[in-house]
Amino acid sequence: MLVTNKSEASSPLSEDSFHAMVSEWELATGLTSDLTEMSAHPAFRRIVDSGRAAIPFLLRELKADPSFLVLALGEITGENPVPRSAKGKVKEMAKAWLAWGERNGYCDEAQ
Amino acid sequence: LSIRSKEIYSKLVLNAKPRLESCFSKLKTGSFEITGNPTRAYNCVAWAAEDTSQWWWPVPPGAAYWPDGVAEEPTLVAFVQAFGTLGYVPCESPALEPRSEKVAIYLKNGAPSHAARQLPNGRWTSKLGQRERIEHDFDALEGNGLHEYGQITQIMSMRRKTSLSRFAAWLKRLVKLWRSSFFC
Repeated sequence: MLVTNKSEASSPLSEDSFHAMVSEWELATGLTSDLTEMSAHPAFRRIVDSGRAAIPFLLRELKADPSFLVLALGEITGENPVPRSAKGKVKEMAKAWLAWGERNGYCDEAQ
Repeated sequence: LSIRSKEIYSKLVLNAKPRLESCFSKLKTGSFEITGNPTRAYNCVAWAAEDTSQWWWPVPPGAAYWPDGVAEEPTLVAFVQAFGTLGYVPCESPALEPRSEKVAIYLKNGAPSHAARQLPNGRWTSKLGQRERIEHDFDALEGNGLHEYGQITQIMSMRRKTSLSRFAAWLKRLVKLWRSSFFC
């Protein structure tokens, strides 16, 4: 069962709008090391506010290009499948979330 | 990379120098060289600590690597403690000293924003967030612009490592990694 700490009422989200938000976020936060600043950026907040509707898009994105968007998945789901040894290793963090996606039935949507 | 990521990557890699000059005003007047391509594998603090295997940052707790026993908070004290775990101690001067390695901690709006490391030639090396690695003048990344890192607030130094001590440090990290994987 999927647990979420976000509202179940997700706003409609298209692939184009998701990619626009990710691009805006990447371009604006590329020079910072501060993960709090990254996750406070308005585009990142809009992704999180999209709720569970963003999960397939996030998993697809992480599969193609691992990034700190993994933090959005943590906020949306309230879960943390990343083992302690993978902290700070973006590729391993993304891999842990992709495995989580498969366990929770998102594997088809994330193809 | 996805097509969209490739497009962003191309935008970033092409004309990287003028792009960085537009973000850091002092880079326009000094000299700097791009010494590494963009990567999310490690960040400025990791690079200052000579660790290219992971991202170092104290918050949000659990999101990135942070040395055991150091407060998970975005404060100068925590950053000084983090570099202290490697053997660095606070010092006054950023001047090159043959037997010392130095790092500089930047603060912006009262919180740590960046760390750079001095090279044996006296210049400084920085990893810029998820972007390039550069070699630059001491204060080249200072400033209060949108992307600039604020002011250098703390210099730390330690005795320059020999090849043997570098190997010992690498071995220590390997053992630590193995132990954390084993007990997870």
